[in-house]
Amino acid sequence: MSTTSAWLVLALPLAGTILIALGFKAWPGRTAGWLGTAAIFASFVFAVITFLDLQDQDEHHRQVVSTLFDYANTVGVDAKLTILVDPLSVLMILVVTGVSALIHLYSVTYMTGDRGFARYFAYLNFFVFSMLLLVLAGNFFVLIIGWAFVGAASYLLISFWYRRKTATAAGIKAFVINVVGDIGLTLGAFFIFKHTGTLDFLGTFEQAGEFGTNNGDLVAGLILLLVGAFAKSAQMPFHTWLADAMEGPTPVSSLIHAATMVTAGVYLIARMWPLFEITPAAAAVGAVVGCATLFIAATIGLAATDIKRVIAWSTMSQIGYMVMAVSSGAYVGGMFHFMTHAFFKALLFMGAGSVIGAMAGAQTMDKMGGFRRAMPFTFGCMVVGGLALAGIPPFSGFFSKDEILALLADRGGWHVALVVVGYLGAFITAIYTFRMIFRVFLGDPVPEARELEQGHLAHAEVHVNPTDGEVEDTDVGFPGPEHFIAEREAPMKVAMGLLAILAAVGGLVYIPHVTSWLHDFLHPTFAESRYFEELEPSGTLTIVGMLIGTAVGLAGIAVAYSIWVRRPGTAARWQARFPAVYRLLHNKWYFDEILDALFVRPAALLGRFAQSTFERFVVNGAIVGGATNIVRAGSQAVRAAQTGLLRSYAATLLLGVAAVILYFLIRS
Amino acid sequence: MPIEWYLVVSALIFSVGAAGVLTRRSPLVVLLCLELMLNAGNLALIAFSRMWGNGDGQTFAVIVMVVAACEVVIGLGLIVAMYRRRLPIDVDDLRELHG
Amino acid sequence: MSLSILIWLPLAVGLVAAVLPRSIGPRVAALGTLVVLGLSIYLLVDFDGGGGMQYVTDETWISELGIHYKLGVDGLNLFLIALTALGFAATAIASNFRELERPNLYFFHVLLAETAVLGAFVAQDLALFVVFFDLMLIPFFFLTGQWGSGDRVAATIKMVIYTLVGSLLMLAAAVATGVLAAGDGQSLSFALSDLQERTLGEGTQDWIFLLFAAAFLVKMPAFPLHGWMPDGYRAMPIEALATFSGVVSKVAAYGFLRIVLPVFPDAAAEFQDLLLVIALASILYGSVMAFTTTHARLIAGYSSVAQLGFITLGIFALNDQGAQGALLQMVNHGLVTIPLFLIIAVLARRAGGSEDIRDMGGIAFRAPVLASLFLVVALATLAMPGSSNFVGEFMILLGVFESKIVIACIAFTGVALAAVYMLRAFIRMMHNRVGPKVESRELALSDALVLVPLVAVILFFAVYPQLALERSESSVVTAVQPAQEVAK
Repeated sequence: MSTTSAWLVLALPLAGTILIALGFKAWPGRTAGWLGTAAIFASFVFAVITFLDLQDQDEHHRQVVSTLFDYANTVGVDAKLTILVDPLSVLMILVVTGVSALIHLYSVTYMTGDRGFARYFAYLNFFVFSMLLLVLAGNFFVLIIGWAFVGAASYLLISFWYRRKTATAAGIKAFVINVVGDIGLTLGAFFIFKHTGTLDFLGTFEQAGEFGTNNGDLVAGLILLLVGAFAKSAQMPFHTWLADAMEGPTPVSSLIHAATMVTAGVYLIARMWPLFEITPAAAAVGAVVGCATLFIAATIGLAATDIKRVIAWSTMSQIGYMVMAVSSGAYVGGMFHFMTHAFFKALLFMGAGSVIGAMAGAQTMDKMGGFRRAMPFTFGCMVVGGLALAGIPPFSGFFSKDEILALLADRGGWHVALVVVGYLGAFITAIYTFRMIFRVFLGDPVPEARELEQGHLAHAEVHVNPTDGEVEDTDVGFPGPEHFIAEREAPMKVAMGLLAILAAVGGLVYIPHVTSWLHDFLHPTFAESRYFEELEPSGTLTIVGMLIGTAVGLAGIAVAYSIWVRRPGTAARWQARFPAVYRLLHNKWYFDEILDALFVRPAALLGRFAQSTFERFVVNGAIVGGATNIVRAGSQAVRAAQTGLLRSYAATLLLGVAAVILYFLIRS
Repeated sequence: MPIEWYLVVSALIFSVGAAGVLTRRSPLVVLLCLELMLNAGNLALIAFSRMWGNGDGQTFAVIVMVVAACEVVIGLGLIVAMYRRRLPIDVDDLRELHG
Repeated sequence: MSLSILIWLPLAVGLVAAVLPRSIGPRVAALGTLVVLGLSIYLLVDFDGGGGMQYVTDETWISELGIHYKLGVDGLNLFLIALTALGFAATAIASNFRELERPNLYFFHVLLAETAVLGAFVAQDLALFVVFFDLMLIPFFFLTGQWGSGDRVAATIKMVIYTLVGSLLMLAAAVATGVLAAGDGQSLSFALSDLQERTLGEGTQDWIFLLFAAAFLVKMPAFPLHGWMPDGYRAMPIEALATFSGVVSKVAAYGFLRIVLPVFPDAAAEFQDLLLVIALASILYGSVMAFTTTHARLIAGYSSVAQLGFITLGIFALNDQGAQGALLQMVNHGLVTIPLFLIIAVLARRAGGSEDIRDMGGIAFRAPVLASLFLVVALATLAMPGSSNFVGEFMILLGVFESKIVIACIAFTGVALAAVYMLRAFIRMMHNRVGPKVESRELALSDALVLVPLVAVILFFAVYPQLALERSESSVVTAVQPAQEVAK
């Protein structure tokens, strides 16, 4: 099979980046945005061609490797620029390019008027290139490069409005945690390389059988790979950066911090299935951490008041489901949920962006309310996304979440406990999702909503940073002299509309016992997996699971309705009654504080100690001082002889010569 | 004549010169005494040259004379410069280079 | 091509430039460095990857002492020569745009330094290496003392005395090596090829090794011998500092690979742990210092301590991957350090002359091109995967991982800390609110003339590091082989 189209999928976003970056001053108006969008659309087209090409192949030839050139192929390290085209990577590139294209389209409007318009699209195209590199990587080396590139793109876009201290602080936090993840990934690759002697994926997997169950090195290596996955996918305890990452423009949150990059960890675990299956200990770590994250993040989502952060915590929670799934052998479930989540979560963020536009930049839900009539389109999209997220049939999230829980239940053993937490998480998910929707769209219209109903979009007089109240530099673009809502802008409307359709019907690709397209498509990648075919929930299990899922979701929505719509004020009463619980949730289970106390503070303290004490007294005092003082003392002694009296010099000279002559005379 | 005589004369002149350098304070006299010492050396060189019957010593002596000439030029130049600046003409007072 | 032309050309041009009128002397000097750069590129293209030592010049210099004027190029020094030529060309051009007192003399010293560094890289005789190694100090002594800033005299004296002590130790060690290596009936020889065949006794190797190590570690500088660095770095004129930090420090690391490992393999294996621990301490200490200091030059300086720690780590992994990574990293580190210092100079001009990052901020605002160039350099410095620096670090750490797994795991902390201090510096200089004294303006054409090509080279190596790797592979393997066998 020719891999030209796959290479083109990679090349087009890169070309877009370079083109936009080089001409950043020359592109008039929105040209840079359209160029970027066109590059991603073209990339999507080639992704589809790759998909069709792959489907034309025989079942056993659907893993194609292609090498462009030797990257660092020396002294036993076989790092080449290699891509692996197989159903798993093709699924990823289809979703990534598809969703990215729509979000680019949305951004063309959303970012209009921003000073950094061209910069934004250069970064965004670079991100897509990096993400595609990550998922197409055919060996560990390219994977690590893609892994770090998406981290860098994420950093650049989080601190896109770089004059805000909150944005740069969030950026560095995200970058450093992601570097910790890169290190985990690299070190993990070392542990595996030590045994296999190759960085190549397929070469590694071929040797997987020689490891034996729970090989010590492999357990260490895979747990380190999981560190990489957790850092990228915002799983505990590396999740704290994602909430802060909401400092970036909303489409960025939608693309990077919801739909694509943060699911890289899920992809990694799925990609490494041959290793995880022979190392149940490491797989168990992944499953348990995913499960814990899905619960904890969901509870924090209940207390968050910033609309973007609610969705961000929800993202962590949903990725928890995926990590749990792929770590437990429910590969189709995990990848299925990745796909549907990309649709509905991107949609929710776009909706939130539209609401933030209507609020002239304000993000806190405390100030929102009653936008239903003013923004019917946004409301409709948010409800579709919310129903998909809450897992209400027949929306896409329902099928994917239930698929995960059914597969896990079928796995049996201690995985049943995960299923219980999964349903509990689904219940909380429904509550916080509809808490958000009810608080924003129902109730009495706020002044902004009322003005909008009269056709006037609110513009703030003084822009303040929603997180710390600092007055914004308006010329740097946040929240921009202009902002836009989906109701008025065709590109935003098209992007959201398409995603709403996908979020509604995306579940069709895999309805248990009805359609199994996704399962059949992914089969070549997982052909030899122990769990891929084996896990086949029975009809009864499936039906029971679906019923529980539906019931839990509807119950959650009902609870949210009674608390925030029927009897407003309930939430405040509960906060007063359980202050400890509220504080715990409000402070995000104190993870920031714990990490700060464990790592940041000691490092800073050590630095100050080194700077003020060690460097001065030991390095400069003892070592340098010692050497220079010896020389100084020596020179003091010699200086005494340097009287400046010419005649004393002459005498010394004569005496010296005489002494030498005397010496030779005596010796001879 | 045996070579010893030449060497004795040379040594005497050298000692006179050295004593002058050590005891006198006028730079002009110091320079004169230095010339004496150099010429004592030249005398010894020429004597040795004759003793060995080859020209090496004489060559050396010529080089020493050239060097001596250069040295006198610089030395006298310095002394003239000192006069012009009205500095004390006394080597003991010129000790700015002490350590 | 004769290597003598390559190494003596800068000095010749420097002498000519020194006597030309002030208006054209600096131009001629810069042109001279460009010609040397051209020669070194020719060398790169013409070099035969599998051919061992090439372009050998071997004349007897002092026959009684067995000292040869022996020069040669192989995979170990090929890219370091190119780096030197590039670094000096870049800084000579950058200096051309600066107002200097006595510019001709300044450029004479710069070109003398280039000759010394190139000589140290191509010397294949221990005595010749020592001569060039010590010669390197002289121009930098004058450059700091005359054209430096701040408390330059004290800094110069501290730096010179301190590094001279190191040099003297090496001189003693070199003499001892030559004398003790000559067995019964063998004539004295300082040629490295001879020394490699004459193995010293283990006890002798040990103390000689320690003397060499001390000299090289001071020059690098490595913790805890880096005491001269902060003062020296603050005082040196920044263009000279760019070459000093980018190129001169590599001579020390190169010395380990060229001389220490092949000639003292037993001692290298014996002291492997010691050197690894020193390297590790350099990485951690340098990184921690780099994120607490606020002086921009010192951030780069301490980051060099950390990076050279990585390089030492790779060399003393005593295996192929480590050494190969270390060699690549030497080139990479030079490539990022030179533009880094030049960018600091550019930024200081926009922050009212201050090099303190507290006085900077928001410079990116009206300077997107400058910000992009700096970003590339910063990301390469912190060895982001996809940069050539990452390839170097990857191989170094892989090498250490295979020989001493615990040390490799701790060394990874340095990778994370690098991200912290580099990004901290980038953000505090370029992002956040505009500082009170800051005037944000775009890169001048004269700065771009130097920075853009340098960044282009960084990007090129990021895409294709194989170019350097395939040419150095066989030489590196030969260099570490003796020590590697002992270590096993």
